[in-house]
Amino acid sequence: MKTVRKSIILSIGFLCLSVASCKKDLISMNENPNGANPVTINPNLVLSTVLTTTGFQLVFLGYQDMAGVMQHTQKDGWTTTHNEYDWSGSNSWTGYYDVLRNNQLVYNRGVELNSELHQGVALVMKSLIFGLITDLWGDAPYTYALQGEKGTPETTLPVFDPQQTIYMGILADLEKANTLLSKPKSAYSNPIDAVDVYYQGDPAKWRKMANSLALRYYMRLSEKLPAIAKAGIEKMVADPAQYPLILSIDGAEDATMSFPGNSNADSWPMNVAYDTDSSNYRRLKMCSTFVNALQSRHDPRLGVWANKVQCFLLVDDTKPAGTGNVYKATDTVIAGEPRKVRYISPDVLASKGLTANDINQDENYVGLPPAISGPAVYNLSPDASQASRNPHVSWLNDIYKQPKGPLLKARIISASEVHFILAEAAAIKGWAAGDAEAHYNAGVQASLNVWGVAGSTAAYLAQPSVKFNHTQEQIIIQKWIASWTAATEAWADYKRTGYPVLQAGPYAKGPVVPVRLYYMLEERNLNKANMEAAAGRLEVTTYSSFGANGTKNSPWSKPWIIQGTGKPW
Amino acid sequence: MGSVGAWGNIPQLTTFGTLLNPFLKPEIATSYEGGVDINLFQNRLHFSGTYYIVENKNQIFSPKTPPSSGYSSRSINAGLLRSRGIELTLGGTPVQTRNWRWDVDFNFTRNRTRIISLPDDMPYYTLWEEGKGGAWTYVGEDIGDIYDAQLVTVTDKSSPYYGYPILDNTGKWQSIDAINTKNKIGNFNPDFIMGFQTSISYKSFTLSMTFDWRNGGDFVSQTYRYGEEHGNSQLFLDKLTDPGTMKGQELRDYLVSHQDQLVIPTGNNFPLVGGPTPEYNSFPFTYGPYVLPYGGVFIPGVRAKGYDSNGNPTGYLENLGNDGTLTLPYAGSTAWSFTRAFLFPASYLKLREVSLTYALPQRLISTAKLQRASFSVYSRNIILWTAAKIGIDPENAYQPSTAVQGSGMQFKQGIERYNVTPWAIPVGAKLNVTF
Repeated sequence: MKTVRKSIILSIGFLCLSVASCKKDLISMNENPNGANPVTINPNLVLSTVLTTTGFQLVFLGYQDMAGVMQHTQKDGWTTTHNEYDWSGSNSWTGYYDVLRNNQLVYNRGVELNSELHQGVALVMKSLIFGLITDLWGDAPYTYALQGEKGTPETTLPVFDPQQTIYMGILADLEKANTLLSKPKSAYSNPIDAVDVYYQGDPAKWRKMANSLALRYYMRLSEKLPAIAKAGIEKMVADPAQYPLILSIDGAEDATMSFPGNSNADSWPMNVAYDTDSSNYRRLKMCSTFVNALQSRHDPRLGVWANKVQCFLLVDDTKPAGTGNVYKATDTVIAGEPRKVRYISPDVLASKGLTANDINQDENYVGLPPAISGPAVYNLSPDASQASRNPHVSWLNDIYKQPKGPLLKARIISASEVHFILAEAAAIKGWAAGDAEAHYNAGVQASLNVWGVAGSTAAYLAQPSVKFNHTQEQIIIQKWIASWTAATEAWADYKRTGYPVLQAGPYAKGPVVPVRLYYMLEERNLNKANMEAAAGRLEVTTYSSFGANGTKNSPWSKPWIIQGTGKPW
Repeated sequence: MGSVGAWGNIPQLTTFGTLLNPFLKPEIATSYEGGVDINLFQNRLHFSGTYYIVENKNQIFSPKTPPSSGYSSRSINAGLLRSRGIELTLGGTPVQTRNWRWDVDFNFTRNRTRIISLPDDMPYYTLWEEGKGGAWTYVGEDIGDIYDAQLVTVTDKSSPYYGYPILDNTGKWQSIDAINTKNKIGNFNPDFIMGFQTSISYKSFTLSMTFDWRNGGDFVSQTYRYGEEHGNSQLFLDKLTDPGTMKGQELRDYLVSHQDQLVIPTGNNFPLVGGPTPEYNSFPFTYGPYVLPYGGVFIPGVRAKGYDSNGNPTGYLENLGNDGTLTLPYAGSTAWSFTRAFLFPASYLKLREVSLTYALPQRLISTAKLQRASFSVYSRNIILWTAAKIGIDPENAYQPSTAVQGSGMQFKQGIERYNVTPWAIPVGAKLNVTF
């Protein structure tokens, strides 16, 4: 009996021991010895993700769907989201909040390591991405966003902050970043050179980016909160030592990101090197709105961005009947350059129920009109497939087939944009922002410089349609042109100013250009009360019913930033 | 921390978008079962019945979270799933003489699984989504429910257009998200399944048959969904309304007088007038700058004249073949995105197996020192009767997929895609020997 009791005690003892050690093993087993620990990680390993993902997302927006909205480009297949504002009632912001979650880790580690450089850069990125979110959607989770790990109701289901709160928060963060980034490079002990794909670790340039973004968002507020916008912009212009801006017209201070081009993931989007069918490249065509704007100004950038049509159309009544009914390219020479032409006899046009006005016989550049039905067969295309090889419409320049190149960059904010903002502040708002014409000219020149056509600047600026005329329309049109492959900012300007004047195409979901994106399905389902409160703050317009998710959460309902402004339509 | 790859030679690490949970508990299943077994008349009649309840608690869920919380999902223990079912068998030997013996067996099963509770902020659990609909289950309701977006129709009962689809300004159907309407269109589980086995023996010969009968439930056929979109589905071509020589007002009056079949969508019928070829008396339609002479259809319905400030239509324009009717190319004007258009009843009756057996004479067996020996010929799948009559075996209504919630591969139930194999009726012979 005694031995039995002894062995019971002994086994209980062993049990206790093994339970204890089990627990310890379990905890250490749950730590991945081969992975980085978020508590101790070098923030640079995550900062790389923040910068590259943001750059990629911005170029994807500005080169794809936003370029469609702003009529830089149109597609002749898979047209819905690009040409027609048909976003199926939901636009995901998951990717942006994912980057913000990573950016938050960079900031927190920056605080723990006492690295002001990491803190400053993280605040700039936070401002950039939240600015993008509120520009695109309106009210959005901000104060309680990105804290889901706390598990409380208000962090699991974050409330949507009013747009004004977000813009003011952004401006406060950028002011903080301006201070954090104000020291000489040698004063920062945790460099980011190796992972900083924007500025190679130069704090002075980051500081300029912070202030330039602040300038952008002050101007954004110029209709709704003019006093704040005026004070903010004048404060920065008056004290360039304290508020340095991106002003260098050679583009050396522009926030840009190049592409290594080693794999599809780090290459220019929709390139043909990693898309053997190349249909994603082929589907994108120049939009007639943009081509016409550039052609009427003899803009030297058109040739950098677009290819000439592979074969132009020519209606020729000297040709025998039936000419050109079937696609046939004939060699010809235009301005000393070997080209192809498809001759068409008038009877062929008539047999198709067309007149010469229905086709575009431009020898060089033909844009696709916005949101037409059947864009694949535009301009007598011999190929009606959805990834058209239409030779009678301008494709994008061959440089956009490449995975990388000197001109292939994500363009986040530029000297050109800053100069145009200052030109508008001075000429249109009447604020103390310097010489409007000088800024306008510098904005144009900066853009021509970065696109490699600096030599044409004087001739370009000398044209009556380009020479500064002190109008908002002219400044915004030049800004819109300069925003090629970065059209998201042009959309924000369009909403604020109504320029450039754009007509929605006949096949678009609504009769006018939309002003926001849909709140996404997941937020509507999972965060319903907060989403509905935010949607309730949108201003329903006569076009709101054209949306796919009721009149509130509609691309044609106005967010706070343009409510009561009478803009853009 | 996870890796998302590299930018050139710069490593890119990321925090996880799913909230992991170090405090997960094991799942607990509790089952209760009660039953009776009755054998009467020297086993000539037997009955057994079982009723069971199985409760699954603490299931590990990965409910989605709003992306703005920074995380797309989290792992938790939660929920209670309750399955209730009944299993009955009844069988016996109604005839037993020296030469004859007839055995019959019936079995009957019915099972329902209900979601009793889910995590607080999770109103429903999603099994799969397809088109504008899918299979998801709300708390307090049964697994297997199928939902779809609701077609926008005239809801004012006093309107002459009551029930007509309200089309958009291009002449296409409009819909309200399934989530916003709770528009249940079916359930993929059967009301019950019955099996029936019978065998008749005369002397050494035995004829056996096995029948299966599934009653109730629905399934979504993606074979037909894709088939219609690609113009390969005769079923959908047959559904098209051929206007014949009717035009304008005459066509409009004809459609209106047959509105229940030809205008108002019901069940999986989404009316279209016209067709892909001139033989269907299709309509001209505009494509780009061209007017193509045939291949067009129109969707019978109405369009809103305009909208008031509440977003309600202020009046209607007819889209019924009369003036102002918008024609569309047949391709791309199908009910593709509506799950309901491809929902079919899943009931079927199957003669699963039939066999004829000859038991070899005892003296032959004894000399060979065997205990038993028999020879049979059999065949399977001789007869399949389905309620849907679309050439698809509802038993094959499953589709492999990556899981919607959670991870890994799973089979989506109640939906099939290209799960159509040529109907095979195997015929075999079998020799059974027992030593």
